[in-house]
Amino acid sequence: METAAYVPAINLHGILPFISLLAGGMLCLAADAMSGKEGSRRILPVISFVALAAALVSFLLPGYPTGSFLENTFYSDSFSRLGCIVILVSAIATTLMGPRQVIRRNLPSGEYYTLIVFAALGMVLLALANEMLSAFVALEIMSLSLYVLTGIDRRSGKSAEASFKYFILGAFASAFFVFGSGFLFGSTRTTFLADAHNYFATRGGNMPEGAEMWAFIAFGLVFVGLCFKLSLAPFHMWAPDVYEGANTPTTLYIATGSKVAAFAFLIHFAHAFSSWQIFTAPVTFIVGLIAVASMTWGNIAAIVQSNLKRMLAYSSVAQTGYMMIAVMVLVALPSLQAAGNLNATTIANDTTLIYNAISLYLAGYTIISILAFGIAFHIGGEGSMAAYRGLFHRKPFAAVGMAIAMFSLSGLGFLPPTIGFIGKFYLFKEAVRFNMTGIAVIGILTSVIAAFYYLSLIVTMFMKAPDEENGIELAGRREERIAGLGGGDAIVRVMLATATALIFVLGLYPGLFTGLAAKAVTTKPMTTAMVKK
Amino acid sequence: MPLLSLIIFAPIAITLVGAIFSPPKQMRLVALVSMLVGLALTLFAACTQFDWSGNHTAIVQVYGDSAQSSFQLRESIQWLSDFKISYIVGADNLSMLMVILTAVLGVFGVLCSWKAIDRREKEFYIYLLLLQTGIMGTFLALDMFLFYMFWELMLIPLYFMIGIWGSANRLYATMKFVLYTLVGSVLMLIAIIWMYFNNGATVDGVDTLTRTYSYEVMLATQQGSAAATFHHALWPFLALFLAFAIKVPLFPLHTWLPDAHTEAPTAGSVILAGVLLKTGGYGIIRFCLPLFPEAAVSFAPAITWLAVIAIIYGAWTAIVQTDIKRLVAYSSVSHMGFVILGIFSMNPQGMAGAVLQMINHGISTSGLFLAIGMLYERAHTREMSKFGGLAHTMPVYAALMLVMVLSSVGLPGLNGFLGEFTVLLGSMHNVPMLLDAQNPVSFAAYMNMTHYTWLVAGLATTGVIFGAVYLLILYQKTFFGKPAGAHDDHSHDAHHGDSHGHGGSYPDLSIREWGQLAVLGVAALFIGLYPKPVWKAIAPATRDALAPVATTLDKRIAELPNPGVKLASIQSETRLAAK
Repeated sequence: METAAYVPAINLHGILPFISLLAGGMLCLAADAMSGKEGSRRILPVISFVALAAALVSFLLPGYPTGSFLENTFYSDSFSRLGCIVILVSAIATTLMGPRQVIRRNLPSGEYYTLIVFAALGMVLLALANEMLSAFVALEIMSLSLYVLTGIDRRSGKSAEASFKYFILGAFASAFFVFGSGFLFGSTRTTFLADAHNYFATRGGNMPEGAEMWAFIAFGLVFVGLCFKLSLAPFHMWAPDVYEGANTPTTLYIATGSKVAAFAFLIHFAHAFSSWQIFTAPVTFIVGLIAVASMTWGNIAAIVQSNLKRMLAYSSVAQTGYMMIAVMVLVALPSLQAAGNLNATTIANDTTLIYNAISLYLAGYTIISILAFGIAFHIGGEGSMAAYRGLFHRKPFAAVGMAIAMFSLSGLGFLPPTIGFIGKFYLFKEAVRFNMTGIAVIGILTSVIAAFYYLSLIVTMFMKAPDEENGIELAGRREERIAGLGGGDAIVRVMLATATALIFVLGLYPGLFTGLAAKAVTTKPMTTAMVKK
Repeated sequence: MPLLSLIIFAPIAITLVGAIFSPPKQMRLVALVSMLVGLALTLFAACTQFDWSGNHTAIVQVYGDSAQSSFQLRESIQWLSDFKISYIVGADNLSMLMVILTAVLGVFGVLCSWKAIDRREKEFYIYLLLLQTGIMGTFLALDMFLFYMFWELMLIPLYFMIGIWGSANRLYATMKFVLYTLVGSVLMLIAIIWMYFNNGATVDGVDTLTRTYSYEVMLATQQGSAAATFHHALWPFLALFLAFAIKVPLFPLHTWLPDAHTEAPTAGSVILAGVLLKTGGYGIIRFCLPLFPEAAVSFAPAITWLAVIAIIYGAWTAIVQTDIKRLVAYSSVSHMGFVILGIFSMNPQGMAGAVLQMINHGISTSGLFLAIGMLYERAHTREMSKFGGLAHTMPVYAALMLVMVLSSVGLPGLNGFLGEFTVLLGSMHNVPMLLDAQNPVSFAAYMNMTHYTWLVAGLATTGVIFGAVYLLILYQKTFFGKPAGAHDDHSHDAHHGDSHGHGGSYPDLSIREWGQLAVLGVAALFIGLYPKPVWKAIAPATRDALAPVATTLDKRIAELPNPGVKLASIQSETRLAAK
């Protein structure tokens, strides 16, 4: 560690997104205090949108630093940067849905927008974090904001219940996380992941008595904490209740933003251990086990759900399970390399391909989720299936949009390739490339199970008649009509149309995306020095 | 001119544009025009642009990999270049025959929906044309990934067609159809990915791999070397075969078909029976045999037995059906069993018979479904017991139906006979089974059954006999005897109050209706009486499909520890195949 200079080397561009988000959040608070109820309903979405957009732009600008910055506490590579972009896109989508949600349930707009921006700050920090304590702080900023956002609808019992469950279980997960960080420090004498990586590379073969076990426990505890955030089976119990109880924009935010952030950090964290030789085999196995459990259980449990948001919760358990296939391949790379199955010249290339696959999958998942939850939000009714019976007859565009979302979530290439299909295809392809055909087969067979409930929703929307002539009076419709939003609002429509277009454009030309990802910055190869014992 | 792309995409494009401008009631016209344009393009391609001699070869380049290709009218565009996926379409004799069948039946698909579809017309015809696109693409795609895309594209339109316009139990049927087909096709996707990574040859223990999704390059690589990597691959073969066998459908995997057929609207049944099932047979001939000859030969005896079971089981089950559509659906299981039997005989007769049987089944079974649809439009029931004496009231219908029934039965002089007869002929010289019987450790040798191909052929022949039983029962019960009150004890008279007063008497066919059946009847008669042009068109397809298998068979014969007496005949069979 460098201890010579105490002048912090600050890369201003690197922290520009943080500054913009922090300032945006503060500004929201101040503006809320200074303006009345109506005023803050108008002005806060603008402020938070500008803050999020500014952060997004600063990530998109070509000069964004790569590698470690801010005293090694953060690390930016093309993957985590892309993660941040995806996070901010999902935050912006949440904000765009905000005005209508605030009116619908008469929510306090001050807290609402402020917390969205702060949660985005936490997510971005987490996605870039390369040091355990920073990561923990980021995790807590994110989590606390999301707990409150979940329970912000004080008049709804379900919302309060969801928030409470999320908080209690989330606090447990955070405890695991911080406990694991302690163990990491105990075994490697550092909380910096880059240093831990070096430690494992140089001393991994002859660690002090007991340190090996501590290191494993460290990984296990932190991994469990992250699995909770990623709602991977068997740590997914909170997801259905929270998805159902939270207001729909927040559900979208939890399903996409927080998952992407946790996922990006998981990659950084796993990278720290990847230079440790005895690590790969057991962890590949555990990651594979969790992937299989999530894909299977998520998809099976989703079948019996009678609420759309609960169904999407289980479906997102499964979707994250698919992502874990890529993590499994990534973790297994060093051992494949050691076994001589890969040569050093191609491994960087291979790693890039896997990162590309994950990036594409994450981006696809987020875009499709924006479409699915966006339409669920547009329809209203908090996911009750009754709102979807014969939807095609009442709102054909919404029904077609939802059908597109379902088809591409199922990822089976029914349509001309959607991003959902290409994402899955890419993941399975990478798994087969490294002779992990077994898990690819399990993955694709579970996706047939998934097709059942995705198609069931389409049956409900297209092949059944609506319940009554005038449909059902959905909660919050009266408030909307009073506010002049009876027919929905144009911004959400544009957002949904954009998401639909992106699903197809990126599906037909994934090169637009993967090319960007590959060229932007090189990623951290999962394995660097394979050190002799 | 990108003729094949036009065949695939022009009809759906016309329909989509037309759907914007036309009122719902006129949508059928738009669809008809689209289908006719597709048919015209197809006939133009087949008659003037396509060389049926089968001698066409050219060197093609796909992402820098070159290969000898016998496909004509090729179009090639680099599509997803990150993944080395391209848009390649091309036709050979086999696919051209299937494309013609598809184009013709597509027109009938619109015509038979003319009056039957009276709600949500725009959607219906869009789905119908989308289905047509998927099927055409499946027959013409030469890139494995593209093939998979089109394969999946076939699924969803039919899912909607059955689910929205189907009869009472439609939601169950449509879900079953999709899930069954999906299981096969997703495994096919994994197999395709595996093929991408493992295409090549093992030379001196080192794999030299050409990663490609191009079928032509794969074929060239796999045939070019005796040590090709696919030769020892059983799982990819099984994954592909499962996908195709579900579609065909082969015996234990057939249970989706009766449900889907029974619940589908007439157009759905016609396309399903006429063309969709053929994609399975097509896939086996196109991919399973040439790319995985070793595995195909090894599994051939088992698959042949399944085909025999399908033939007999399908026929027996059809005998006891009371629902007319269900009966014809089970007859499809039986008839498509002949296709599999023919393919896995692995000799020219069997293969040619299988291809002809696919065409015949497309003609006769879709004719039957068309005819049943016409009856259903009048009576709103498919129960056989509700009909009787239709020959008196609907003479034209009875005559045309008779042609279809006899064609399906396999009466000499009509098309069905030729296909089934040739397949049976081929199955008597089922080469993999003869080989198997020569193998001293095989069950057949243990039982001293060196001639058990005769057993296979004999059992399969009973399928023809039972076929006559159920089809004649069908015809007898509905057309002869006393006119039965088709709907007097039913409550849904309101559906058809326009036409008929007394039970069992319906108006005879309109020009639109008998025209469809007449065209199919003429086709059946033509193939039955003068099959030469069809045989000539099929011959190159047979040769191409069997060439790689013949190499494998020759090798197996050379490896035989104890060349028996039958060897000479086996060899002559395979040499015929290799020719």
